[in-house]
Amino acid sequence: MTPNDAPRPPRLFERFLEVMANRGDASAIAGDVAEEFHHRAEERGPARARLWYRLFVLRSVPSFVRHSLRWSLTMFKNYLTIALRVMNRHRAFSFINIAGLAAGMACSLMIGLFVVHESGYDRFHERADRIFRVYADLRQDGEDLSGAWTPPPQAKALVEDFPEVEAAARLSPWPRELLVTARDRSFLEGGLLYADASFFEIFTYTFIFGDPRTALANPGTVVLSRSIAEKYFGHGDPVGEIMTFRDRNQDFKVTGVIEDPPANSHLRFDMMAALVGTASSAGTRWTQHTYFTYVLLREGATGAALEAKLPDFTRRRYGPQFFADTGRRYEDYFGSGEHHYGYRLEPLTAIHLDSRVTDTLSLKGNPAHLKVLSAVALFILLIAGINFMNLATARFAHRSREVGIRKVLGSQKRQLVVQFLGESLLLSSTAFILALGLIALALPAFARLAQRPLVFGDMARGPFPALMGIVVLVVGLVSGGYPAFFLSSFEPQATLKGRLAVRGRGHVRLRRGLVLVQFAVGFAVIFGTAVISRQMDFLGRRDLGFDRDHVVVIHRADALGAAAEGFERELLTRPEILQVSRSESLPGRHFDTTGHRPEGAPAEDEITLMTTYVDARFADLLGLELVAGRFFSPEVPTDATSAVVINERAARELGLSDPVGKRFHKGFGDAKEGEFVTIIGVLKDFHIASLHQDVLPVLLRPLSPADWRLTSVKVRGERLPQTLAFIERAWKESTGGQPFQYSFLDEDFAALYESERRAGRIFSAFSALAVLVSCLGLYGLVSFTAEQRMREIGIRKTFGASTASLAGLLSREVVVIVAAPPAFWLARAWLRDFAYRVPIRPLMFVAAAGTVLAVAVLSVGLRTVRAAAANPVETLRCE
Amino acid sequence: MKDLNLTEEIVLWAVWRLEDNAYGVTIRDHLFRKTGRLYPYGTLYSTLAELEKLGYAKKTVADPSPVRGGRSKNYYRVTPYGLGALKAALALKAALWDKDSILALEKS
Repeated sequence: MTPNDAPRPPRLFERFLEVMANRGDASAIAGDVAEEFHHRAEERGPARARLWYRLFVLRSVPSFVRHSLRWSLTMFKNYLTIALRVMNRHRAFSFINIAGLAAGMACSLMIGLFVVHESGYDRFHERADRIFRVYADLRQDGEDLSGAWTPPPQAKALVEDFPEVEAAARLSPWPRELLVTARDRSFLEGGLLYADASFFEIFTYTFIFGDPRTALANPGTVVLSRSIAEKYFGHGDPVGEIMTFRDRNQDFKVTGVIEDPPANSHLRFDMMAALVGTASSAGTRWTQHTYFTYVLLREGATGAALEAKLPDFTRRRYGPQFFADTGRRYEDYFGSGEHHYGYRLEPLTAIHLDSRVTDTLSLKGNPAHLKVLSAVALFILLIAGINFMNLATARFAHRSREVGIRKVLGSQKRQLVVQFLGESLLLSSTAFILALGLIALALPAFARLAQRPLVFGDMARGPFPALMGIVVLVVGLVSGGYPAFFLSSFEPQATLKGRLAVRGRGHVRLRRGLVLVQFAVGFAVIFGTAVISRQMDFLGRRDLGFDRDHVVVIHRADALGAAAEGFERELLTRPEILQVSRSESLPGRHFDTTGHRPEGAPAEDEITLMTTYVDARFADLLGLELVAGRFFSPEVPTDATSAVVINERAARELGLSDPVGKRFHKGFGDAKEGEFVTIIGVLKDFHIASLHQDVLPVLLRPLSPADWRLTSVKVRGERLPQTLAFIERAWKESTGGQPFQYSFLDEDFAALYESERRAGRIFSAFSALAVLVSCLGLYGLVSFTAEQRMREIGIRKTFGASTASLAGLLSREVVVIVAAPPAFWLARAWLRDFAYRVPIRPLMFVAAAGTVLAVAVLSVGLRTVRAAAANPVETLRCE
Repeated sequence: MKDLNLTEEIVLWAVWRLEDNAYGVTIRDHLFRKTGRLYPYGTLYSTLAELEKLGYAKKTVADPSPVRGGRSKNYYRVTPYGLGALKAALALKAALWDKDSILALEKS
């Protein structure tokens, strides 16, 4: 019989048998069964033999399962008992261990939620990857003046000129605040936008009532969000109902209701009205920039390909208008390299985080903050992980006796590894469950702080389940891995006799190394927090050139109309009201950007000035100082038409050394040759924008009733609530009960740094936590060691060796300074965003390092003192 | 010297009887013919391992053969020590089962 033609046992069952067979004799057993198979094959034929073989293997399954399961179950029970007992014996220690990890996990998961939310903006639109926003790329005299605002005829022209543009829609980018009345219900509404009919073709919103294709096709129509519809009309179908926008005296017909737009969109609105039919929507001027334009590309078309065709498009479409307006050829003016004008595209999904231009629609995300936060999240997880690992290692190290006993009783190395890994996985899973609880508690507060609608359920989506699994596994396996492989390799005699593990220097050094890493990270985080808070403090205290305190800003003040005079007179009768002034805008709010040139200067010398309209009391109210000339005066009649006041910066930019009495051409738009305005005064420089920017050149023009938007009231600081109540009463009387909307100038100005302030607050909250967690870890570690050495301390009744080891540990912690260069570099990158910034002083490094060390000394010292102060009789008696 | 339990005694006996040809298949076969019981390999091998550990049997691993699918064969031989254990077991049996005892058992 040759092996080739001999019948063979079924392969699959053969393998199965080998797996089940006793480890040592597997081969021999399989061989025996194979031999028996051959006897049977010869006697009764291969088919019967194979059947026998299969049955034989199957019959042995139950006893195999019973056998192996009984043992692993017993062992598992034993492992669990031991794990719980150990946890219970060192209760505080286990708590520190688990709670620290849980806090770290909770923090980083919440930050993760935030980061995922921020990077997922506008992706809910079905065709998000084909939607682009067109923006105007403008550079003048090397200054970047790009904006998201585009000319009114652009959308139509894009559809006409490019077959790959499936649809284009314009959006009026100013969310309007107005008084809305419907069915006798009136509210002030803030979220009204206007858009072309194609808006709902391009973007995906869920219509509850109405037809998305025709909803905005006719003038005077509006689509409501579900919550607005329910607020005014209840739960029924409101299509066909009429809403009155009181400020514009206009009626709108409801043509549709959509589900509330998702919050993670740069388009925020409650009401979308038809753009068609509004006065400016039919505009054909290419030199006006009033709308946002969105395009939907056809399948297969790319934004890059379209963008490449836009320079030609700009020349063709914008060029003639530019020539008509300025008398200059587009190619000549913008071809020089010094100036540039063109259109570019940005993907819809990049608008929230990566937009090159600002818009007025929503709070933009800051990718730098996102990066910093992601780094903090990783740091916290790192710190918590190291902590956990350290504490776990410390505890496992004191279980060398257990390892010895287990080995003597026949435990294999593999089993010990499984035991320790399983134990640390149990701990990390417990920590994870605790972390989920912490998140459930803390997420609402965090969402408020971050101003993002983050909910617990978000964690079930996206990368989170996988991510959380990985974290639990990695932390559990890594922290359990070291003791598992290290301890299980000991010779039982050594561990039983000499407590080898505790004396081993290797892992003590490792643990110290890890503590150092923790403190280096803690140092970087504290340093970063210090820089941010100092900068915020600096911004808050810096002299802006005007007095921003105790100024109440009344919004929509033009609603007073003819009653304004009486209202102001009534206010000024009160001693606590010092001054009242009307204006179009205020520092911290939007100023118009207008071009001007001095009399006699050539057309190219046009200077961009920030312009607003103010009355004669404006300078007094804000405490603006004149350096030359005078401010507007009601007594001089020509002031109302041809006088302007500028600031020093504007004078410099206009190139006027003695500006008072100089004239320049009236601005853009309404410019007619030969019409001039005269500078009657120069103000000391004051900031109208955030300190991210340098002082801007400002031009103040006399207020006409049409430009009036705000009334500012300067009050005394004391008895503010009463004063406010008084102003409100006067307002209601004068306006016939219109809603009173106000803000404080200093708060408005502070809002310019809102994004930084919030990031700063989030950052400090989390960095405090990071430091806390690492201290917790250190405290736990030290107290564990102290507990182990109670007898030694008891005998010495001094600090003895423990002082020495403490000193050793601390002297090495000065190494945290290695974290200084990267921390310095990060802080500088952050500060670069501001035109005015605090210097980074060496003292800040010292302070941060000092804090870390102090915290370390404190947590170590506390425990050591307690250990040392213990009565030696107590500690020695337990021998 | 540890006393043998019954399974150990039976398996060691079979190894002794089979002389140079005691391995899994033959031991199982031999025991089946003598006792009418088919011993599972699991029982056989764990008993053999125990006997080996006690020093009563000695294992030699033989070259693989094609019939066995290229697997090795574990031959067992009784050591002198094991022979002593067998003798002790027999002595115990003989002491217990004298003629009177056998007669008494048959009558009952």
